[in-house]
Amino acid sequence: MPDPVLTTSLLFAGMALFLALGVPIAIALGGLSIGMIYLFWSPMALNMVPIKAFSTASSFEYLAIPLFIFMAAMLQRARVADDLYDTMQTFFGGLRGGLAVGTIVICTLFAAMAGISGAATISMGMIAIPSMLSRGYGKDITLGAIAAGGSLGILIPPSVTMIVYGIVANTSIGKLYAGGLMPGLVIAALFCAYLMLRGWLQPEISGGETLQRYGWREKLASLRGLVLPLVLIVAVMGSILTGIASVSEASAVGAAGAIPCAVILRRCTWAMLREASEDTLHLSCMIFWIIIGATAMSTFYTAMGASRLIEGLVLGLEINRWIILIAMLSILFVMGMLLDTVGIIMITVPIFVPIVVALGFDPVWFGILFIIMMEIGFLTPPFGYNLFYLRGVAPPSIRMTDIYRSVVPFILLMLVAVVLCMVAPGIVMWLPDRLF
Amino acid sequence: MLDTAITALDRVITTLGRAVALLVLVIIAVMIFEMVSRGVFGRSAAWAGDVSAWLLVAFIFLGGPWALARGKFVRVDALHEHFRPMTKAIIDSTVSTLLFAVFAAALLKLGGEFALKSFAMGERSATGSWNGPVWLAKAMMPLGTGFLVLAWLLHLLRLWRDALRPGEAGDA
Amino acid sequence: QEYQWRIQSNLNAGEPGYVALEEKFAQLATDMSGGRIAFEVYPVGALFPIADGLEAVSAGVTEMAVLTGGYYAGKMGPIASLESGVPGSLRTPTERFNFFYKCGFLDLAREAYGAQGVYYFGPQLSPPWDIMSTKPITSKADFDGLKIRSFGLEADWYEKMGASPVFMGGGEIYTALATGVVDAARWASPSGNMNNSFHEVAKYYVQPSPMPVPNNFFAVNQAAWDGLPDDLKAILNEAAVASSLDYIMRSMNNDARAMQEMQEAGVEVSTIPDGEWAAMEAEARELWQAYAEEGDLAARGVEMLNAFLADLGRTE
Ligand code: NA
Ligand code: NA
Repeated sequence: MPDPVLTTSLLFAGMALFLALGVPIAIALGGLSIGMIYLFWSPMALNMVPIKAFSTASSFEYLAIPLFIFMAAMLQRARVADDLYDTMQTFFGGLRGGLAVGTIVICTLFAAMAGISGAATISMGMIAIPSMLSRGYGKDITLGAIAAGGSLGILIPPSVTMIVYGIVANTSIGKLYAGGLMPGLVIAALFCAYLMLRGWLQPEISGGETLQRYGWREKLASLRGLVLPLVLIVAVMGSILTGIASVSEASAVGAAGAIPCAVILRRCTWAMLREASEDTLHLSCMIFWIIIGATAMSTFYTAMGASRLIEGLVLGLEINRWIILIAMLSILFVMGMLLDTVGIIMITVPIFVPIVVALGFDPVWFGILFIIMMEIGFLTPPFGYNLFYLRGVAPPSIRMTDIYRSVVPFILLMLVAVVLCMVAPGIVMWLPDRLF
Repeated sequence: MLDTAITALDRVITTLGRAVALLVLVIIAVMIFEMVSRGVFGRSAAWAGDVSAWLLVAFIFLGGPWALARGKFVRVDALHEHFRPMTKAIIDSTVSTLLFAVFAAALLKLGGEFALKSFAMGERSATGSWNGPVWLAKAMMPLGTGFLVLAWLLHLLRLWRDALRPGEAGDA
Repeated sequence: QEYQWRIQSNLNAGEPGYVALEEKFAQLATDMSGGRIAFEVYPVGALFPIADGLEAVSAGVTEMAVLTGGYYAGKMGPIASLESGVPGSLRTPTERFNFFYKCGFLDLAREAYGAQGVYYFGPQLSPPWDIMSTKPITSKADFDGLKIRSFGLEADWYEKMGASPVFMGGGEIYTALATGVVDAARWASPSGNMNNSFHEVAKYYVQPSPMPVPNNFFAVNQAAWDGLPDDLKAILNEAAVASSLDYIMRSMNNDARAMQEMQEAGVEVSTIPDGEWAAMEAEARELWQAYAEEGDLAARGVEMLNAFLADLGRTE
């Protein structure tokens, strides 16, 4: 077995170099992984790459990605999204940062409809970026709110990531679902509070200096813009809760439901369906090819005995249990910069969970901290899915540096949430203790 | 000459991409059909799960070339945006092309063998009783990668056109 | 050491079968060989999806893996189902062990998997694969209209009794049971089912088991196998047997404990009476007897199974 420190350093250095040179992300990930597999594993092991690529692209759970993108593309092209932001503007126009808060609220609802994170980020990117930018919101606020809000999908149930965690960690999935709800809402609340604070401090990038206030007549009239999105949300969530649709199938309810929405508004044309399909193709391909490359890389890293490296780092510590816990969370933070969620779960959970239990911590509570660290991983460079997804939907005037800069405060807020959950475990455990 | 090649390649890849994009509508239809069939008629359609997943494979692999040609494979542009067209062309013709070549070679050769093996054994779906041909879905991977190589070629040709003839608008 | 192999398990780290693989195969073989061969064990799906495990092992992604034949019926035909175990046939691990090691089914399995470029060490006997349900199931009639997660031969069997088989991946079952997308799921033994938290959302545990003695198997890359000296080959073959039995022994206690815990959490055992069950098993037998028409390997497999059942005095 090669030295895991060597392979880790090479992966980090290679990623940083190729991404800085501007190599397309999917190609950098794929090419680098193949080189590393060839050198450090075996030429025969390269067969893993197409096998995993096929299983990624034929994964039923990932069908939600193109379907939610199609839904968002339809809603955007039929101007349902714009109408929705008009309604929010009418109601929250008097509140600086109001639309940013509204965006977080919609992201939270989206999180309750989707089991994976990418679908929400990219859909909300399509819906909210143009609507917010055109209403006087700065790049910073807009991008940060969407990237961070989009990451809530794996913390608020349903969540594919929690199921993977629950099975690998032998932990109750029901308790994890219940345990994620409150921290998810707490994080959403932290985001909202922060965005309102920014609005108060910097009105010029939070909807503009002049506040528009609307009368109740206008407010009432504008409620029309809320009807279609609300019906769609109820249809998607309802189809899950009533057992008509599995979590993956619910995305098809959203996608199919977006078509009548456009028809009702008399904006549905064949050209529009075609254009929405083409948007879906471009964005889905961008996402899936990145996932294919990232999967090759995580698998290589797992095969190289990354678990042993992690085990060595943690087992050597014979100190206060809280320090061990913080060390584990720090390892998750660093791994989140480089690897995708499933890879991190495979490598760390079998090592961490027995330690956590032996130290007398609750595995459900740790699971929620773990999931929040995975959410942070969506936002941290060099490898952060949500950063890349936003790059894919944002207009060309927005640079990658804008995106990197925009997420920093939200990463800090999520770390604050981790600390809150450590100081007050009740935030996590209150609901599961009541329900189970 | 350069322009002729660019136009021809672009036509092939765009035509393919436009057609494949419509598959998302088929996927939606299949999934809704399954939900209705199961919910209303109490009969799950054995083929629906496989067919929607396999259509996704075609969507991603046959659609990838168009996405690549349209510049949808995102990059970290922090430094890249400051490079001159010549620098961009040189980097993409060397470092990126090397990385692309090994990635594509693995998917083309090993993915091709994977699909051929499936075809040779007449692999059928094991998930239900409908016995769909799995090789058909697996073949999308090498096939799409083949077109992806063409798309990369198209991308390089455009880069060099822009580098050699500054001032003309690039199209991706 | 002279040989360093990677093994992907069919289970998650810490599960009884994973521990049996780590301790009673990998460690035991290392010890017995005086350290000439060593192993690195990985959890299921860590390096490749189990559905394409044959391709991965034959291409040499890993030297070895524990795989499940049920996934490969579409690749190899019904012999893969016969290898995994078919309902309405064998009932105890001892019967299954004898079927493989004393009646020659092992050679047939080696022949079948050899054609896929994989050397078949032997079966890894598994604890039962059971059904958990959101409504009581106490008769054949209760299968009528039942939406049950299953696949392969079993799916055909349940469908024959009026059920609607639904296929979904492991990650979707919990939520699907919770919301009612499916009414029942055929998954693992009590401890495996509890590991997936199914007891939280499906309160009925159906008995008897539709798959009382299934098995996974130890697969080895042919070239890696051919490269071993004979003494190491013998050691690995014996370690495979030891690990297989160790898994069954461990599971007995784990499953009994899991069953009690689930019952404390409100799960009820839902029993199908003997006479009714015998009629259901007869339906299943019709399905796999028909395999005899589907090629030479399957025909020999069915013949072998029938002969063994006759030997046990269980022919109708
Ligand atoms: Na969610
Ligand atoms: Na990251």
